[in-house]
Amino acid sequence: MGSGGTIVNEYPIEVNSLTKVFKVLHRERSLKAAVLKWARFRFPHREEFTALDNISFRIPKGQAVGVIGRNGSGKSTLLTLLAGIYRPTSGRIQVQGRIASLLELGAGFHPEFTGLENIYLNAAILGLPRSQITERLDSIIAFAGLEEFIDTKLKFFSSGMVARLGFAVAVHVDPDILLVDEVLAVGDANFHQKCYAKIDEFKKNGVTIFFVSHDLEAVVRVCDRVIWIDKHQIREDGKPDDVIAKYEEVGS
Amino acid sequence: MFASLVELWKFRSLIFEFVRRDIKLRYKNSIGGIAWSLLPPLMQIAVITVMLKFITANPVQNYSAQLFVLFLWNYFQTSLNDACTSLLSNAPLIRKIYFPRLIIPLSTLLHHFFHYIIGFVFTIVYFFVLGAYPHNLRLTFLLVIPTVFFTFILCLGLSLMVSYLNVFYEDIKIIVASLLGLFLYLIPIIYPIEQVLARGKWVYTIYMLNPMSAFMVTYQRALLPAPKVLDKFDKPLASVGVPWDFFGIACATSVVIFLLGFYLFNKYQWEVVERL
Repeated sequence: MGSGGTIVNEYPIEVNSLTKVFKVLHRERSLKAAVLKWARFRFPHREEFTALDNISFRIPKGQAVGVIGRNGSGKSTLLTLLAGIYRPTSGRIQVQGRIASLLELGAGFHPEFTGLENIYLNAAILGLPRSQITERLDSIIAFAGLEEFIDTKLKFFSSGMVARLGFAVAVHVDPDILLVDEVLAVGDANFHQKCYAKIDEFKKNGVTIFFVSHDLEAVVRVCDRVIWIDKHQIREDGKPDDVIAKYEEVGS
Repeated sequence: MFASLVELWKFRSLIFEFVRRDIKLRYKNSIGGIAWSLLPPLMQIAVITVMLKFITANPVQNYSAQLFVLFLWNYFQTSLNDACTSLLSNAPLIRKIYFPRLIIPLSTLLHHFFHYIIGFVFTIVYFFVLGAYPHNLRLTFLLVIPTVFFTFILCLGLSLMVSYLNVFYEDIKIIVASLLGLFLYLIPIIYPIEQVLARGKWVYTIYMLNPMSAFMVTYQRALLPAPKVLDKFDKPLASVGVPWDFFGIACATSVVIFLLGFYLFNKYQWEVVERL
């Protein structure tokens, strides 16, 4: 593949024939269930579910890629795999650089903590050392627009405020790669404006963006390229307008 | 293994934040503060002391001082119980962000270790107030350090095993809690090891092959000299000093259990995430 000496980092994300199969098991987590299964002498055949089937693509540095597709097509699984949370069943994923995965805004937020305490916790989870968090504190609080509430416990925040705080922390960890899953649908118009301005800034700075959304307008606005995943495989991969036109033709 | 340790080191600030979170959460909405770290073991010491006075034929003088080993036992017990459910209780986070999952049980242990340190400092101060220190403060006191360290290693190894197993079978946490309750009586804490030895050498050997027994006795002997234990005819029982041989075996056992736990945890951690 394109890995000649000096241009190693040209594709921060490379995915080769990626397949992910989940074993569908009984939800019950108990010894009783295990013993019963064993007592039946033979395990009931394990159902398998292929979430992603032989997916390949690579993303050059600084490209913003949108991923569209119906519910259950495998978009979120793909994102989870890129974030390193699951391991592929087969195939290869190479991701280089610091990833900020916005699979969930405010991961690890605790309702009993104040806004400030949660900034430290969430930023540490996203990989920022404490000293750097302190440096960026004012900027984070200002971005979230929560100056007055920063010493209030999170449980008294509105859901919009929580999301704003989560997004504010996430965009301050200086990622090389930003994984976004359907999280921008929060906050008011003003905050949306800020989010998109920040994403444009990221693009200018060469941050690679991987953007999963059902909001086609947002996809067109943010992305340079769109991948359409249908029935766990890539159906189309190309310019946003072309892919979205085909997607809408089929009817979503 | 080396690679995982390097990765853990890279995530050290996250470990620190998790420990900080747990400590803060423990004291949120309470005015007692760190006094609550001390109260449960102290209550236990008081209850056992009173109980021993009533039911033992020939109570050991000043045995309550020996019971301060309960701070270390409680550390072990609460850590293991909490570590058992730690992956499940942090499931939303584990499913959304990548970080070495080992951090979860590890930071649970470190959080309880913080409370143990408070208890340890209290023990030392109390012994001075009591007059047991400084004249009982000997060089063997330094044995506290390896004892606590290997107790931690043992606890971490067991935690790694039970935490991932509990994701597959939630029965594990009940089994672990019950066994820990039982082990309080199978370990020479509420009765002196001398009474075990009086039953025969082989009983003593079996007892001390349990690493926690060896650690508890070593810890007691490190803090204070062996107590004078009398049988019901007021004849002194053979005294047990620092059990060097069994302490060595216990340290080796701990390392083996840790390596096994580490291996199993790493082997199953990916399957665990999909089952959370």
